Amino acid sequence: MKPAGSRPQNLRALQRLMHRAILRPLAPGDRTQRRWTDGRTAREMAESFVKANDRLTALERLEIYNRMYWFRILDCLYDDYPGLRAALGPRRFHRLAVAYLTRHPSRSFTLRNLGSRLEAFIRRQPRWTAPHTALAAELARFEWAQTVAFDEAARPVVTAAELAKVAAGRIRLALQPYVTLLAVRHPVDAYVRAVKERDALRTEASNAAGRSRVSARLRRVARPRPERGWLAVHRVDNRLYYKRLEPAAYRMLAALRDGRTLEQAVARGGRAVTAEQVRTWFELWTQLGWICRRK
Amino acid sequence: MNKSTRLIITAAAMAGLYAGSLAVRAHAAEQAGTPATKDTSKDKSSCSGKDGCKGKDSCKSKDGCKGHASCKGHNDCKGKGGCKSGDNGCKGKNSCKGKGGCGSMDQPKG
Repeated sequence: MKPAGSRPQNLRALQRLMHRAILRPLAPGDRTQRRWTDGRTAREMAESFVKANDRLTALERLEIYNRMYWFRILDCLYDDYPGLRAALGPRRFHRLAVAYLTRHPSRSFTLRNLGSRLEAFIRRQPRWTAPHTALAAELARFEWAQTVAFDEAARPVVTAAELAKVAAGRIRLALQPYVTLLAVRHPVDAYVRAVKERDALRTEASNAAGRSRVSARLRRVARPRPERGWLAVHRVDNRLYYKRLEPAAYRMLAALRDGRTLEQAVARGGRAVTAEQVRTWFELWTQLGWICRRK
Repeated sequence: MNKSTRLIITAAAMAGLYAGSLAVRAHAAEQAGTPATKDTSKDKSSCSGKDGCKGKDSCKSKDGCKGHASCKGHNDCKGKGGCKSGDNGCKGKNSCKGKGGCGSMDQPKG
């Protein structure tokens, strides 16, 4: 870098310029765009603050950082959204990812948060996913839920001693932050699992000697047809799971999550649920560690 | 749902909560649902998480990830055509080592 001067504002201006240059979307061929935002050539802009050396021009040196940023964040989305990628196909997924990351660049210390706004972006800008926008948004939500299940915090589970302290009807419990409840219109859980299994088989096949015999079965997983479902995405002993729920169970859990009392939550189950069903559900949810104290 | 039914159902929920809080958790995994992946090595405890922890700084904080080989590759650009230009770009910023792209005065740290 060329010296920025000793004043903090010069350093800040240099950092902002470098930041803008790195985050700028790549041109076709994965190269740095040849024009800067003010109409100058990218070469001129790069030479204004980057030194050339005997092997690389200023622009080539800057391009290393620009490309690296994009390769890295695209790689993260590629890894985190295998279902969405399969539903859209690689080219459309790539276009969606570039559009999304241009609008919502990485702003967190962790790349884990990169996809946090993807579902909202898909709903706001359906042109990237049409005519499969509803499915794409659900897949984005479902796959984001896996990121949450993977590393969101776990709070202390509720204990028998704590339960004994409060009147049953008034007790307010909470769901673990890593548990996401989803009401979906496509069987996204089965679809994403099928895609992952297909991808794993592909990897095995491509590593095997007879890779030319990879069957058509491995090439495509059919997009799911609409079918309503209620899911919890969660983890047990550091392993991720998708659990299908009865609609009444989903409503009760959602009410607990939203801060209702236990009595209010069970009332959400409706008239059809039996006491035995409710006892069984709550026993399992507690065993799974989903139920915790409300802060 | 009338009041007496609601009380019965609430009591059933409390009974479930008590039973679950006293039960051995090991058996719960059997009813946890469908595992996200078949391969148990691809889970949080092994740092591979959902589909690998590439680019996931968050995995650094996981006990299972410390020093795990799969945490490498944060700078990995494989699959993105990053190697086309022949600049050994697959190793991310470190690819400029030896090329003069990152002179010793401004060698990137991450």
